[in-house]
Amino acid sequence: MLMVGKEVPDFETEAYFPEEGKSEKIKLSDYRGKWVVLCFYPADFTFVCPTEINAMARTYDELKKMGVEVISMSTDTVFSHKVWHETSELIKPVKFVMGADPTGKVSRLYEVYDEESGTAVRGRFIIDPDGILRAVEVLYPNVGRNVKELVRQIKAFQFVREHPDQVTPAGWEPGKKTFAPDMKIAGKVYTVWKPEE
Amino acid sequence: MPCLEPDKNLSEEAKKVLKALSELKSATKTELAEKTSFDTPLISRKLRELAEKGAVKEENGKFVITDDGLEAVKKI
Repeated sequence: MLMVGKEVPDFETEAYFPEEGKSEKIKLSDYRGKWVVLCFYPADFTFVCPTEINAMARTYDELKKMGVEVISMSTDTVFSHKVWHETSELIKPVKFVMGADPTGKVSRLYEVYDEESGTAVRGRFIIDPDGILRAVEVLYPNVGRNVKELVRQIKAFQFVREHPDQVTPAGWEPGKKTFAPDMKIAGKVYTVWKPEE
Repeated sequence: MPCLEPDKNLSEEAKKVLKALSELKSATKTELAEKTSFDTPLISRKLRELAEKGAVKEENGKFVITDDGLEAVKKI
């Protein structure tokens, strides 16, 4: 598994740009300086995938305001992405880049390729502006992911990036209490944080 | 002989980046992003498109326009 805290592998692949209606090559390293959500899913025109992609599309404006770019990725071609975007009500709102990985090269690089089905499993990677992997979530294909939790995690990572002396406790939301990890509170975290805080 | 026919070969965004680079002489991606109001991923893609067509090249971490690129700018 790719390790959090390490630089992610770069890749170049064809991608569909729904707003422009065209395909073009993208390189992950082009996105340095931005937060990136790289989101693998099994296949266009299937069942859970359009619900996830739609959820991401409905959250995209909020993510953009947070300085986050989204790249979806499946082993479909850009032609499949184009027709899916044009014909599926749930996919029409998509404005983010839809990466195409028909050879499975990128999916293998990120260790989410399922050799038996020839598709990617649900792998989601949060990458910081320096290209460092901050979070990974991989789900079996029959359960969809939660975009609200994705947003919460990015906000937490952005907070600790700006406040490197602080950590965010479980379920942290902006405005909630954070604290500095210090030997003085080892075994006594309850003195600086309560579950209801 | 110039290999570029800007109206046929270059996207509108690439033409804007090329024109901006011709005015700046040499620039980083960030400087081009500021000049064009494009975001840096788009600048990177357009610079790659321009480099593949021989219109720009990278020198010491900055992008500069080539002779073919200068010829292309005249036709934009």
